[in-house]
Amino acid sequence: MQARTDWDNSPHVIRRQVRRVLGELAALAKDQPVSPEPHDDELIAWLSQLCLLVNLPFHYLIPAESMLPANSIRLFYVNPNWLQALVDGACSLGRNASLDLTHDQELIDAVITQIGKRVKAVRPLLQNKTVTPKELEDEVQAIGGFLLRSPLVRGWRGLEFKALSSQGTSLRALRIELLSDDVLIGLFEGVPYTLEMAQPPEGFFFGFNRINGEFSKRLRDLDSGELLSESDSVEVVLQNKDMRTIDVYQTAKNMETYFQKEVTSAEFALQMIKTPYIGRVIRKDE
Amino acid sequence: MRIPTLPKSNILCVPMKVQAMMVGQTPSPTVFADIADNFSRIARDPLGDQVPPPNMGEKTQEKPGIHLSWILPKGLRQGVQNEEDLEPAYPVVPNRWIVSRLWSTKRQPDQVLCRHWIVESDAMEKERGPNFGNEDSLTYPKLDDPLSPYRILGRSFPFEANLNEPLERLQNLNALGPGNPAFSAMYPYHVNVFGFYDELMDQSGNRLEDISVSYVIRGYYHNYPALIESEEVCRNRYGWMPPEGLIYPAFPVLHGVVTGLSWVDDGKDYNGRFISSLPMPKLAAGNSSVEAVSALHAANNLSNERLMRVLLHDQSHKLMNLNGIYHADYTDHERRFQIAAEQNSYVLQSSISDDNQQGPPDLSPDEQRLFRNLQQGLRNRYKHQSDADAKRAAIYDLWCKYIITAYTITPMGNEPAKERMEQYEYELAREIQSLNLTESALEDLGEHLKTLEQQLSDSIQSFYDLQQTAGDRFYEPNSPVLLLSGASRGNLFDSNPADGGLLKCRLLGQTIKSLKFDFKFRENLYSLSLHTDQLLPRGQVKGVYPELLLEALLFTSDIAELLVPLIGQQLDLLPLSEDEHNYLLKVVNQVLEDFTKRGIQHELPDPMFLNVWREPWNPVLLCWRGLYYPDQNLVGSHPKLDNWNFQGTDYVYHTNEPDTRESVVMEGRIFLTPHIAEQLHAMTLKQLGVEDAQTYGDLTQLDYLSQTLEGFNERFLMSQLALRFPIMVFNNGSAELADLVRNALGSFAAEKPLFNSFFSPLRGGWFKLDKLRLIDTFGQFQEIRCDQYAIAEDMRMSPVPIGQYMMLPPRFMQPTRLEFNWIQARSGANCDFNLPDSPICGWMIPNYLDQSLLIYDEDGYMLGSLIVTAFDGDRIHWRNAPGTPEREPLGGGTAGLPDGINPDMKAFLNEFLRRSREHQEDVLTPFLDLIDSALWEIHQPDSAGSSGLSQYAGKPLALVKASVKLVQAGPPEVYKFFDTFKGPDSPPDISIQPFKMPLWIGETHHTGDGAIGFFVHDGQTGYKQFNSSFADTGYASDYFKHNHQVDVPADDQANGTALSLIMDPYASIHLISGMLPVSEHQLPQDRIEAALKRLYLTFYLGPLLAGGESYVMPLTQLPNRQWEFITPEDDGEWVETTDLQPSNGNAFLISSPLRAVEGWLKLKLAESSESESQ
Repeated sequence: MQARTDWDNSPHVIRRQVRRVLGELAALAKDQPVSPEPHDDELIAWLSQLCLLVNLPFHYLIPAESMLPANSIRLFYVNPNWLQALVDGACSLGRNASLDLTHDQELIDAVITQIGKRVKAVRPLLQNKTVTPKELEDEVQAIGGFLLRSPLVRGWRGLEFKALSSQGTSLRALRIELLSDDVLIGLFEGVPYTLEMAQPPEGFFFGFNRINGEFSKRLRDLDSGELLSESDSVEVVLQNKDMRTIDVYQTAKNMETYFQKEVTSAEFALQMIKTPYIGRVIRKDE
Repeated sequence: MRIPTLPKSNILCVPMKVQAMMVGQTPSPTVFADIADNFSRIARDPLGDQVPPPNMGEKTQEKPGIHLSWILPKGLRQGVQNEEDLEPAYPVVPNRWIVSRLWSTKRQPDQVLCRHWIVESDAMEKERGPNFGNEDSLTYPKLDDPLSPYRILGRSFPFEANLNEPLERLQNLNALGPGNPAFSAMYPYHVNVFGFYDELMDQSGNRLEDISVSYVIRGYYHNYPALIESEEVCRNRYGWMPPEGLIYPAFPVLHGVVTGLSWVDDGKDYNGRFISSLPMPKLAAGNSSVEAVSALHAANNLSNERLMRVLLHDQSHKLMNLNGIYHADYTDHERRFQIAAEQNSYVLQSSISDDNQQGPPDLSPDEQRLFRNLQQGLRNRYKHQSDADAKRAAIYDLWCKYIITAYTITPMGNEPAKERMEQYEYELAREIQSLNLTESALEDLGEHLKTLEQQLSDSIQSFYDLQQTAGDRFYEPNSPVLLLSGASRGNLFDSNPADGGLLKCRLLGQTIKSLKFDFKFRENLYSLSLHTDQLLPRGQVKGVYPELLLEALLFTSDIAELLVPLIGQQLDLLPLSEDEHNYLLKVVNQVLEDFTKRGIQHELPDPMFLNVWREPWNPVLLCWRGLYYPDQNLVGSHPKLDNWNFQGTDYVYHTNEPDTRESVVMEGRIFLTPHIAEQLHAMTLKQLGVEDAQTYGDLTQLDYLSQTLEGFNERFLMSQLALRFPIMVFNNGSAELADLVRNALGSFAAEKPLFNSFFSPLRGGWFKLDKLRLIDTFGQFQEIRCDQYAIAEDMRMSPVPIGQYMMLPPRFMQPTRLEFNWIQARSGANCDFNLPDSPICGWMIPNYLDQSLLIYDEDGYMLGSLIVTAFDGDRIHWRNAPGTPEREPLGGGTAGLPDGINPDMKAFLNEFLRRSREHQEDVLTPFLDLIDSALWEIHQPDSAGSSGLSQYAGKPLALVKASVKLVQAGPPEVYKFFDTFKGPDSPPDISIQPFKMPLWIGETHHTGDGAIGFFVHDGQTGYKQFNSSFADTGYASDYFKHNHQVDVPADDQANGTALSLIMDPYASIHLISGMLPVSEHQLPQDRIEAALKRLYLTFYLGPLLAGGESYVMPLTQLPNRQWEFITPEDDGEWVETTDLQPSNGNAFLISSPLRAVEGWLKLKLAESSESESQ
């Protein structure tokens, strides 16, 4: 009876104590290493996906078609304040009384820090790749990306995208995903200054250029296979323009003439390989 | 080799303990208490008040000599209750005892002399005298002889004497004797029954001197059927291990020996010096033995007092829980009370299998009515029973007045006395008639209940079983408990648990007949078998079962002295030199010792039978006297608790110093038990395990004796627990009236009324011990120091456990209970949760986003919300539920409350609106703040399922109705006034009726307590004032009162205090009064679930980007739930859209035109589930 009266404290004292405890909990949580295992912390994992705009209603990103017309690409920078508001909103379920608000107020920073680290694991895990905890030590500071609306999306499955920073360093891809047959979203760790889109490299094919009606092939070094300069080109001889066939023999001869040596069939094949197209979108403002 | 056959016999030798007290010169001051009842006084006092001696009576003289007492084995001291309603039956005990004294003088230690007496326990005479052999015997009631209502029980005489057959014999003597639980334990009660006085005279009439004495006792049944019918009876009923070869039915023969007494002469003081050398026991007091022993340990710095109580109450596991300290405190407090009475109630148990998902159907209205009538009928029956008992008590009190007038106050022939007696006869006749009417009504009620029961059972038998279960409990406070530590309790009453707890017994043929001696003497080896019948001359062996006497002789202390010359004689070695004598003594003692060790498992009887004498001291009785200092504010016409402050769960006095101006003497006698040591032992085993507990030694042998001060509480209501005799008259008074009164009382256990004495239906004050006297089995007493002792925490003000005054917090002395009822929301009748009753008037969910209070009806359908608006002045508005026509009146302002709303909910809401309208007062905002404060304290995990929805918007709270009332068992006790008795001229005005007991509703910091606040319907405040411990004291509005206490009147005519509570429906409510145990109440979960399942939530949503006809939003799919979107149209109509398209992240451009809409998202029970629940 006597001992219990000691802790029949006023509400203000109790709240102060509760806030203190929550604060300590938050401090502990903030520094906790993030586990890449999907089942270790489902809440952080889900929120990480949310911060990559997964399952977000599309019309909240692109309310009107005019903002993303057909055959267009738009680059953007994700507003971290908006993301924090999104996370806060998602966490606001069950926030009934000021006790819940206090709890969230004390802990939200820690949660966001954890999310900032965990977002890097979303894509690799979807690809069934492993992620080491070391990779998740640092928070993502900024997220930038693009939205592409184009038949390319439908036509070229496996388009590869690479983003580079203003210093030319490669940016980690956080999310690259089809949103529909012709819409694709990509998010990177950092703001892309250069965006390269490359055809999928899996299939080999032969090809040559047609410039001003003339057919030519830019040659490669026979040893290294690297492309030579633009001027190092030979004519590709057509056998039948209507049938769209070329004269392999004559074209090979043109190559021999350039290289001053006999060109084998393998060497001919090397010369005829066409590398995937890469499209680059480069930011001009500095 | 011939294998000896086991002897067969129907005689079972049962060992018993024998004790002896030597008395020489009676010390001064005396150490002998006068405790024997004197039944000869019955004739002049049929009430029996004069039969017991004064509480602290003393004997100035005790007869010199040796006083013997033998203790019946446990199996003969225990009663067995064969049927619930019957009194326990005690076995008949032996009625013949042969007492054999064996002694030798110092001069001739090798010559053992023997003398025998017969004790006839059942002999009864009307007179005492040497011719009857009963000079030392005690009186025994013989109530069927009005001319001489007592006898002298028991007699003893030398074996060779020839006494006439006594006047009569007591049939079926048992261990209780005339009904005294200590009869068989204490010598002063049973001389010449289970005891014997040996005056130690020789043939010449001179007292023997300088002798070594032993006594052998043999007890048997004379002219009585065999007691042991079978082996099962032997083991289970009496706890005796039957030897192989026992023939049934068998006769038990009890035997025991006490040896080693060294009697000098009758001038020596054998008792006074011994008693004064006894260590002074330590004393402790508490509301229970547990409290007392905890206080004692705390006083000796051995342990934390509170933790020890928790441990001994087996509550330590509760401290692991979040609210464990509350639970431990509540249990601690509850143990300060005892259950005085319990009332059953009816319940309906489903009789269909658990596999049936549907459950039994509800009762029809007729069946419900039957059930309610049954419950009410049962309650009425209990009330009638209490009334009948109160009438019987009143009849007994009147009878006492009648007898006192007839036998004590005025002698026969006195006219005023005759008139008074006539007056009492008239009143008695009237009361008996009233009692008969009550009993007749009871009988009718009983029959009516049987009929109703049968009717209802027949109607519902397919689905329900109608049963009775324990219901309400009436409590009364424990009387203080005294505990003594270090009283040097002997082991006289301990049983020896060998062989699975059975006492080892033998056949008569298994007694020791001989002893073998092998030794070397004078260079020769000798081997001799001495037979026990050689130990005593044949003429000295008297009485039946001589084998037991001769065997016992082997174990007397000086037997070696007797055996050496016998051996010498047998082997022709006499005479012996002194050295040879000593050598042979050593040999004999060694043989005896070896035999004792070896024979313990086989031939020897249980060690219990051999008692080596030392000064007896086995305290069993405590005579106590103390002074009670009442709080005068509690004794009067209008009792008040002004001198008491409430802390935690109980009251404390307002100062450290007791008010000792008025005092009341209280006294009594109690029998001490060592039960607390067993409880300590059991708890230590449980908490520490067997191995670790062993490090503390055998805790069952802890020298603790304790007992409640029986009769303490009765004193407050002018009663005394005393020996009561059947209703009878002898030479004065009307025998016919006695018959009437006897029939009227039946088996009612009356208490002795204390007319014109102290009366206090409310206890509260201080108690101080004045005198304590510890009395042993022989009536020797030790005065116990009681000026300073350990006092339990709850009974003291000081942190130091040692003191002199025990604080007694306020309590009701008449059995009382706090009746709490949930009240039906619409009808106002009490709820019975066997029926579909519900006290829930409605639901509310605080919405802190919109600063509103969502309101739902009792079934969970949304009615609307109270909202704080930005309007000037009248800010609090009512909005009907979204989707309801006229949600908000055109032009703004508050809407009207819906029709058909529960009246209490309406009154609750109207108060907010009224204050806003009339006084421009916003009490909704502070109300929401108050709920918010409360939700910091309440943490009751919700059940899975529907309540999970509350997490989206807020915690649903319920407005429920309840009532509290104090109910006492029977009519209120009144002052027992006797106008011709000494005392006041008229009864003082002392009453409990005007008393109001403070009751605290809800335990504020208990996270499982869901009380937010309440309204009191006292005809004044009602819904105008909200009481809550969470109300900020800084609120300017008088709507809020920082308070969670309500007064409950003790007036038995008062209706209950009606309340409306706002509470978390999943949590419970604690009702704390201090004067009664804490009670906890909870709403049945099925009442909550049905409504909460139906309860739907609306979330204001906007702006929502939408295009075309459909709305796309990320919605969670929940089982049995569906979403709707309600939007208002320009014309005031509402559109409910149910085909909401769930969105995912896929690129899906909504069709133009794009628009922003606002509305309410509604989550409700899916329609298929709705129809099921209906």
